[in-house]
This record gives sequence, structure tokens and C-alpha cells, in this order.
Amino acid sequence: MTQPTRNHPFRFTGSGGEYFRIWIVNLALTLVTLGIYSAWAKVRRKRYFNTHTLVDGHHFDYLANPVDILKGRIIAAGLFAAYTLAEGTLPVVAGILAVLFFIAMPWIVVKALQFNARNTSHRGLRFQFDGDMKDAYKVFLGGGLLSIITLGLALPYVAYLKTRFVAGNHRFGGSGFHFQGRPGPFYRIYLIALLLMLLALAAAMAAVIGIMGVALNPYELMAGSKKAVIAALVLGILAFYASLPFAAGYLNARSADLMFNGSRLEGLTLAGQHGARRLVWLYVSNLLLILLTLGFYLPWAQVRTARYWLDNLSVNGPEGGLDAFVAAAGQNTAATGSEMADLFDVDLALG
Amino acid sequence: MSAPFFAEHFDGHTSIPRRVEARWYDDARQLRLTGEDGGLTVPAAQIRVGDRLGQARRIIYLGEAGELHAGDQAAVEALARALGQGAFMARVFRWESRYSLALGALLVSLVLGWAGLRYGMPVLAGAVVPLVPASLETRLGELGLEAMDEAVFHPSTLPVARQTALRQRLAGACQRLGDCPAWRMEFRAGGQIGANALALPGGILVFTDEIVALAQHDDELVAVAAHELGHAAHRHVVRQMLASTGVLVVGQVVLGDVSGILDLAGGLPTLLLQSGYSRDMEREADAHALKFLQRACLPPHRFSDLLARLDVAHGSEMRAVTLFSSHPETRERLRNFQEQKLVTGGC
Repeated sequence: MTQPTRNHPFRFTGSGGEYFRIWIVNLALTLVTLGIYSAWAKVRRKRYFNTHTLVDGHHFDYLANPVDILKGRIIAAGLFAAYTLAEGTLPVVAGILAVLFFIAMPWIVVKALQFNARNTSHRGLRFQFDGDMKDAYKVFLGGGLLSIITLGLALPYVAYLKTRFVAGNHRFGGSGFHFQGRPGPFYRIYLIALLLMLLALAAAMAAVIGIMGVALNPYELMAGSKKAVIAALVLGILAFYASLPFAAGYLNARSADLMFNGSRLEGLTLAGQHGARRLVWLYVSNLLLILLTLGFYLPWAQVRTARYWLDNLSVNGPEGGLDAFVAAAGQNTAATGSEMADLFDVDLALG
Repeated sequence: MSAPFFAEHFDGHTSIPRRVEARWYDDARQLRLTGEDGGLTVPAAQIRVGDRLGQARRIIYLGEAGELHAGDQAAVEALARALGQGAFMARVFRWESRYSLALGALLVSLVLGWAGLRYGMPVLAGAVVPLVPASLETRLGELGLEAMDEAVFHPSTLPVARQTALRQRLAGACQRLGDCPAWRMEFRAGGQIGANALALPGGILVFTDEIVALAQHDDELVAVAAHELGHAAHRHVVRQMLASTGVLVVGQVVLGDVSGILDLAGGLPTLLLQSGYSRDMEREADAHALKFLQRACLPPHRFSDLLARLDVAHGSEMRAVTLFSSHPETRERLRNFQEQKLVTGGC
């Protein structure tokens, strides 16, 4: 390669205070309209994050029609209401609904990925998700079964399959992403995450035992009195939850980078440098502040999270490499919205 | 012709940005773009101005001609006005730009949202109730009775003859009136809930041995049964279930985006709503009882007599659990019955 490589960092230009006000107005209008506005609120939220995400000076966009999101939410609300009512009165029906939902899960995942990709654009070109439904069942349902059968030994391999399925099936305009990662590194990070969790658990348990030793009469403890058992149980559960952010932070930062760094789009590569320690800190501080503020910190937490993911991500490629993309054959920004809509072209993701 | 503004043009076919000067011609109703690669004219019908959001550059969608990205907010606003677009979202943007406006909007909508759930939801639930099959309701009542038999009640020690006499007394009153909903009277030892009576779905009326003992006249029990029949006639339990589910669904879907608040503070409003619904239903059942007694030529004070004794018997400790606990202020209820003439005309 004789062409010089250029590095285009992603930048997130949103601010917590600004998004807080958007979030509050979204909440207000949603309350007044008894939920109807929530679809418009979602578009506004997604657009805020996309339009404040820049790479090489150009932002992303979110193009979803709120009515499609509303339809999806009405379907979801109907199912949720049916399940809630059935749970108390007709347990059999509730059970059948739960099983159906489980079976439909891969289909819902693919539909949500398609909807989100198609409605995300950059430089006037839309993204697409081309994942095959049969592959989705293999990866999500088959993978889940495989993990259970192998008692979790296949978990990293299934994570690899999922990453390959999701990352490798996206398209930008007419160009497809390729995922070139290998299963090996997934095994390495899952192993380290497991060790981290055991370590954190052991430390937490040691602290619990220490506290109990001070707080409780040793005779009571030895007699295994009810109070001591309950205290140990409660503290143990708390210790478990306290250890989660460490393992999750490490795992999420590392697997995201495995996905980014293994992905290629034409002549471009992605480069993620997400520090695990910073993500752990982000999780812990966000959680504490959200709890302390009864949820009002949430918008700031979301902005901080977006900034973490984007400010540590960049695109590498030849000079002007981002200018070289063309729309997919037959794809035109204007035409897509209505023509591609079929009965289930609705947003099924509740998030 | 309005003032020109600079923008980046993407044609929708390639990812190459082209710097253009855009100018709106009001008389021709078209936007003209001029750049190094020549010009382009876009008619008004093809233009949609994207909503303003935070600090983001504005996107102007041009249909087949791609899109423009522009930093000049004032010029884009002028274009939107010329096209008559985005007036509502421009207002939303103004609310979003100031903390005071955003919080004011939230306060107003909290009040309105509460009113909608508190008074609108029961009406909505009432409209859905007729769609619930009676057989399902009966099944619900039986399940409920089974559950309470296991958790609270013990078998009644009331002599069968006494049980039969009470059933016949209510049956007699119902025969005279001719419009009682289907009912079935059950007797149980009350256990924790003591002297009480409740209506389960499908017209199952449960009387505890304790309330039977507390009554000084059998018509007092008929009066309580009339109140419980009010619950049955209005299918209150089903309505309550539907309304609660509605609140849950609205909460889930509406506030899905703000789960933090819902999870942490959602419990209390839900509880307040529930007790609000219950109070309304007790008033409805009381009204039903009063009409029942007057039409059956029974003195209305029979109901308030027993209620007053119940209030003394329960004191304040039992308020949290039972059907009687959520009743409107007892004194107010007593007055409703005491103030009525003992027997109305025509008896």
C-alpha cells in the first residue's frame, strides 16, 4: 500500500444538561398523551445521539417514522397486557405465551436490527442489516442450547458467533461489513472475566465474613441462628451484585473492541481502544448517581456512556476513503420508508 | 427570494459531500442549490426540514435529490417557516432549551397524567369489562376462594340450619326485587381478617362467622350482602384488575425510556391509584346497597348499624388488609344510611 493511512476519530458532541432537558420534555409529552408520544420521543432521543455523533466532521442521522415505532409499541403493549392478565388467571395461557416469546426471540432480534440499521444513515446513505433468519435461529436459539449442553464451555464460542452474525451482516450503502475475528480471543476474555468475578466475589465474601465476625456474637454464628443465616444470605447476595460491574465492565469493553477491531468496511478498518477500568468506573458511578437522584441522573449517565464508546473509537483508511461509498442498488433514501414497509416493518425493540 | 446559506449536499447515491449555496425562492416555491458541480432546483413538495435538536447541524431532506446539512440555524428556521413545517417541534425545541420550561412542562404533565390514570383508566376498564366472559370471572372467583381458604380462612363453625336461614333470607329479598346478579353465599371462620364480608368475582359472597355473630338482626347481614352484591353487579374485581393492568402497561410502555424513575418511584403512585379505585368502588357498592334496601322495604340503618359495630370491633389495626379497610371514611358512610328515611313509600 502506497497510500497514506488516515485516522478519523469518532466524536460525541452531546451534553448531559442538554439531553436532560430533552428527556424531561419527552417524558412530559409522553405522560400527557398517555404514552402515544413515546414513539416520537424515541425518535428524538435516537436522533439526538446520532446527530451528535461525528466522524470526519459528518454526523449520523436517525430516520425512523414514529408511526412505525408506535405500531410496534402497541403490539408489544397488547402482548404484555395479555401476559399480565393471563399470569393471574390462566397460567397455562401465560406459559404458552412465554414459550412463544422465547421461540420468537431470534426473529425479534433480527427485525429490531433491521429496523435500526435501515433507519440509521450517514452522509445521506442508509445502513442495512442483511442477517439471514435461519442463521439467526442457529446463532441465538442453537447457541443458547449449545451453551446449556456444554455447561457454559461454549459460551465464548457463541459470543463469537453472535458478534460475527451482527457485525458481519451490516451494510453501509452498497458496501458490506466483514468480520474477521477468531474465536480464540473470545475464550481468553471470558476466562479472565470469570477469574475477575471469582476474585471480586472472594473479596466481597471475605469482607462479609469480616463484618459478620465483628457484628455478631460468635456463639450465635456457630449455632447457625436464623438471624445469622439471613444476614449472611443478604450480604452474600449484595456481594454478588457488587462484583458484577467488575466482570461486566471488563467483558463489555473487551468484547466491544474484539467486534470493532475485527470489522472491516471496504478499505476501512475500525479501531476501538476501550479501557476496561474506565467502563467499570462508569458503571459503578452511573448506578450510584442514578440511585441517589431517584433516576434523574439517567440522561447524564446515557451521555457519559455514549461519550465513552465513541471517544475511544476511530476509523482508519486511506485519505478520502469515507467519500468512496455508493448507495445499494435500487436503494434511495427517499423511496425506502414506505415501499419497504411490510406488516411487520415496525419497531419491536422496546428500548 | 430569501438570504442564501451554505450547506453540505449529499446526493443520496454517494458519500461525497459537496459544498453548495442554497437559496429559497418564495414566488417559485423552490430551493436552488449552486456549487462547483453546477446547480440543482428542488420544488417545495420534495423538501422536508428536519427538526432542530441540541447543537446538531440541521438536515434538510430533499427527496430524490438527497439531503443538505447546514449549520445556519436561523436560515433553516426561515426556510421551515416559508414551507409551513415543524411549528410544533420548534415549540418543543424551545421547551428543551431552558431548564425552567422543561421542568414546568413536566409538572403540568404529571398532574394531567395522574388525572388521566386516576379518572380515565377506570372508565376505560369499565368499557372493556363487558368483553370478559362470565365463565372466566366465575373461575377467577373460585381460584380466589381456594387461595383464601388456604391462606386465611378456616371452615365455618356456623350451624348448617343458620347458614340456610341466612341464604333463604337473602334469596327472599332478591326474589322480591328480581334483579340480583347471580350469587352464592359462603361462610368461613375469618381467621386474621375477623368480622368481615367480601365479594369475590362471579358473585361469591363470603361472610365470616365473626360478622354473623356481630349482627344483631338478620337484616343487617342482608344489608351487607346488598353491598357485596353491588360489587358483583358492577363486576368490580374484574374492573380493578383491568385498570391495574392498564396502569402497568401504560407505565411500562410510556416510561420505558425512563426506567430509572419508574423502577424506583413507580410503586407509590401505583398504590395510591389502586386505593383510589377501591374507594370509588366502595361508594358504588354503598349506593347499590342503599337502593336495594329501600326497594326491598328494609330500613337502611341496618347497614350502618352493623358498619358502626364493625368499626369499633376492628379499631384501627386492621385497616390495611381487608375489603372494609379501603372503605370511604366510615362516619361519612354511616351518615349516608342513617339520614335516609327508615322505610320509603309503597312498602
